[in-house]
Amino acid sequence: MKPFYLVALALLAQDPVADPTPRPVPDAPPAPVERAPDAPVQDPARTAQGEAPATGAETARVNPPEPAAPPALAWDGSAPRTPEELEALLARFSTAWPASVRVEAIAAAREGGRTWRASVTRAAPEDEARLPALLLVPATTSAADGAALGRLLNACAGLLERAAREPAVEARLARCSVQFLFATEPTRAFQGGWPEPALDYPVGWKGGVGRPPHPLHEPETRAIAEFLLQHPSIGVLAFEAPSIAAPYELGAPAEARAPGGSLERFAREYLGAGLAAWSAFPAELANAADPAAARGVAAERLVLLLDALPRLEASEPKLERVRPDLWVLEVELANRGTTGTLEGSAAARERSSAWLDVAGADLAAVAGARSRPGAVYEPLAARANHLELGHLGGGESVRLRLVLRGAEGAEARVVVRSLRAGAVEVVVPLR
Amino acid sequence: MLHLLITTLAAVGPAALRPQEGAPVPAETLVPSAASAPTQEPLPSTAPTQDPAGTPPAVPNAEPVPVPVPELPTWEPKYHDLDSVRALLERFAADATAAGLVAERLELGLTHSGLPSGALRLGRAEGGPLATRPALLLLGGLDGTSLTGSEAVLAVLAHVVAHPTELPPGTTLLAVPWAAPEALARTLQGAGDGRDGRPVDDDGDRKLDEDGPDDLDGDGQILELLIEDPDGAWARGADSRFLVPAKPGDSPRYRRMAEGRDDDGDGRFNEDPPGGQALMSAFPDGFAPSGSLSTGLTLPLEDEQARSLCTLIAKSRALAVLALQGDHGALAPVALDTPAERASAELAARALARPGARVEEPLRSAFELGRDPGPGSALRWTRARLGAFVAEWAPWGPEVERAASGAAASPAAARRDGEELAVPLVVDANAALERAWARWLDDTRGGIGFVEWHPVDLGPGRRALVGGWLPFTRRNAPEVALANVLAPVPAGVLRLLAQFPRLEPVFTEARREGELCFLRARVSNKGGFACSSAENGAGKLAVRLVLGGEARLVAGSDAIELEPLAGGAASREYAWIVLAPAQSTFTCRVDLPWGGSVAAEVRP
Repeated sequence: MKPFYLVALALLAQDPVADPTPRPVPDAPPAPVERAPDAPVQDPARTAQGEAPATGAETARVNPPEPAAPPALAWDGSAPRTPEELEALLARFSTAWPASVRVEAIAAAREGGRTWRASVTRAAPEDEARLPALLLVPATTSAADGAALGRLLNACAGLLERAAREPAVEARLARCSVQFLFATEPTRAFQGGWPEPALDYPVGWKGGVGRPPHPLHEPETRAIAEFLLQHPSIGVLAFEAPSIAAPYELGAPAEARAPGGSLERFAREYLGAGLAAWSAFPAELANAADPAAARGVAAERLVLLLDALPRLEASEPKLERVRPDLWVLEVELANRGTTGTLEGSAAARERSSAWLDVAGADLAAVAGARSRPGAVYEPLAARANHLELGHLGGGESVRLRLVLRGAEGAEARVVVRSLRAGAVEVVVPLR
Repeated sequence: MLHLLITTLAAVGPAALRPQEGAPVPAETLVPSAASAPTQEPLPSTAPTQDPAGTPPAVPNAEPVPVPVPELPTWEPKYHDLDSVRALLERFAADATAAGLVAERLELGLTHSGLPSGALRLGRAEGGPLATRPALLLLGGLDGTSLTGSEAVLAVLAHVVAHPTELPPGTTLLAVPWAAPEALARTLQGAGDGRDGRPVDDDGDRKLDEDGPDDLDGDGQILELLIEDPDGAWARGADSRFLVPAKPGDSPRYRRMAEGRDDDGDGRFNEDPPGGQALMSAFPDGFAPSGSLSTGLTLPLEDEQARSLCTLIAKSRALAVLALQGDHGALAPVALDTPAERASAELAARALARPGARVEEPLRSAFELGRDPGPGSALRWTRARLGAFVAEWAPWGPEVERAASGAAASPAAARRDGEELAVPLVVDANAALERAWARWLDDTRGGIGFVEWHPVDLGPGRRALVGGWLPFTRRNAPEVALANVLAPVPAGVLRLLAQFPRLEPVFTEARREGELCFLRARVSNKGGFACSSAENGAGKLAVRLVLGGEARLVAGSDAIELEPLAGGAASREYAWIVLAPAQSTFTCRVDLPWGGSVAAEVRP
């Protein structure tokens, strides 16, 4: 077997993060690629789930470990009843798990209420925005439901507790982030009753008497929309839907639950994120008297949901010398998540969500064959050692045949980056 | 004896002359200017402040520095930049007030680069608050390229303030001369494509604006580029200067784009120029985002200016909206879907027709004229939102100078050489327009204004053709022609305003038999325009019979909803029987769809 290295570059998941106000991207230096050590490092998360360890090393700058013993949160699991209670509770989360959760207000309503984001990850803050992300929100139709807010908070706390005591969960959270949005409609969130949702997002938005003149009319809605566009690494938006039996529903069933003008529809259409309806607890626990008791269940269901995130992996490459300075490198690239690297109409709008770059050798030609074993390799258009790979659906793979020109002994590096599925690097000495 | 009194219940008199406080425009987006707005109390300050630009804080007891009052310009038929347009708006507002009109200067929000934008609302003193009258909304250069359209709006305002009595009473003229400030400023600099210049990754390659136009032939102009391509969508027309949509069998075919080279070496030309968002396509009507997730997607109404314009339109109560833009010289309604819309369009076409031009050709919608605004259309959104008659009106076109000079009118000219204009296909409408422009070029300009296609070198082994219309020929009128082009525009607008609905309730019977009173009334629209041009529920009227204190309704309804009345139409009669003491008076009040009400009073 030829020596090679395979590196999953979760931290190099994408190019510069989008800004709601598009502006020129400065000539940023290339993202640092951490070379894998010769000896593969096992991923405890994979091992724990019975997966084969990746050949290569995960590169993640992780935060210091949390205390081994789960911290005492001193919270009975009940939902906050006022904005002040929510803010105070989130502050307690930050204090309890300082290296795993970051809390910030991302939007403010005219009336003063705020939307909070809690980002749960074991990665370093500077890498967080580039990690594949799962976004959890209350369903638009229950954004004013205090119980829904409580379930989401319990799920967040449960996930943090598990990450603090289980290395496998901690390792998974080093490769991705889970973003919680609380009080997405801050004015309605604590009103009580069942006020009508604002439905202020531009997809499927409806005007009319008593409606604002245009979508994104409310400042908090606009701020949340801009937050989403600033985080194209969000691969799946999951909204909390207590009525479903399964831990989560992905795709069409979830889309059918998202009304026009909702955050869910916006994320689907603009961000091209996978849409999941997710329930924190099975129905019998949904109205449990002690929500804290069901926290572990919610965390378990959340960890399951992480499987939906798109995730790039590369097979062991094969190298063949066809001329003294010409080499054929074959490698299969797969999306191991159940969600595509880009979904819905966004996949038609964007040319590509995964990109391949070659260094250390010249990419003379490239061909690819999608998924099917006997598929013919079709020529692909590469330019200046760069190739747009298009999109990879959930579970889809593409076999690549790269014709490289390079001197014997050179080290060819093939890096595949993606918008939200992480990155992999294949390093092959040409010999 | 029958006493019939028509009373306008909407506020009149001195109150109507004041700036309209509480006008239905949110404070965060629309700000009446200092001339008309109530003065805001300065916020109390506890510490001296310094603005980010480093302006020193005010020094207590310092000598007041006299602020020079800028001299306000007068309007002339020439192209103005944004500063001049804003100064003219101030001038018009001041002149209007001096002439006894009610004028409101409105400030829209800022664009992404901080450009301001303004509007002016005008009306006669009588007729109630401006915001409660039926309004005609004029949008100048909404497409971001039609500077002639912007000047046409200014010409209307200049005329109205100079001739205030020509403004029909009871109506409001709301004008936004520079509706798309960023794009118009770019057009004025010769670089405009209708977009606002915000960096956008048009081709999805995660780079911003990396392949824009270039002056390939060194003539100082960015014209058009033709690249021969068997799959191209264009072919040379019978007049080889001009291109027509390619038909099967046409050869050679061309791809058509702005002049420039393949700056990023991706095999495509000018596919990612300095671009941004076109305000015309930024409204929430099937809006399609542009850009890429990696570098940023556009949201609908991205700019504060766009959002405040949207709010202004939504709250304008406009019965008719004219976007003054385009190069076809015609009225192009956004849609002609309903009988009321078609009737409004025909009426508007007659009102806006230039002297000497005949209105004999069938009306064409914007789609039929190839001016369909596409996803995110501001005009389609306006039509749906207001139920108003919405149209593009091009003050400039190939036949405009002909009409102004009294030469042959458009349909006859278009049929010269056996050409038929009235073909209901976009491509043929475009072809007819191209032929008309060819005639204009040759007959009016002696061929000057179009650069013949000539070869240029695109790099190794690649050749292409460069040529096309010079700036200020086709897209916008030559400045020397502007006076003639704009001269008939104000009269057309005023003719249209004069056709606005005038609703009157009329008692047709008021009879008393002892304590019993028998009443009948109907509502008439004395104007030519319908109360609404759409069938979306807008324009409905509410009719109420207002009884005195001791009167009791025996039969009939005291509140009736009326469907919108067409121009010149009257409602059916409504009947009431009322038990009322002698000398009682009754009022039939009609709440108008645009605000306010009119009433008739009777004492049977």
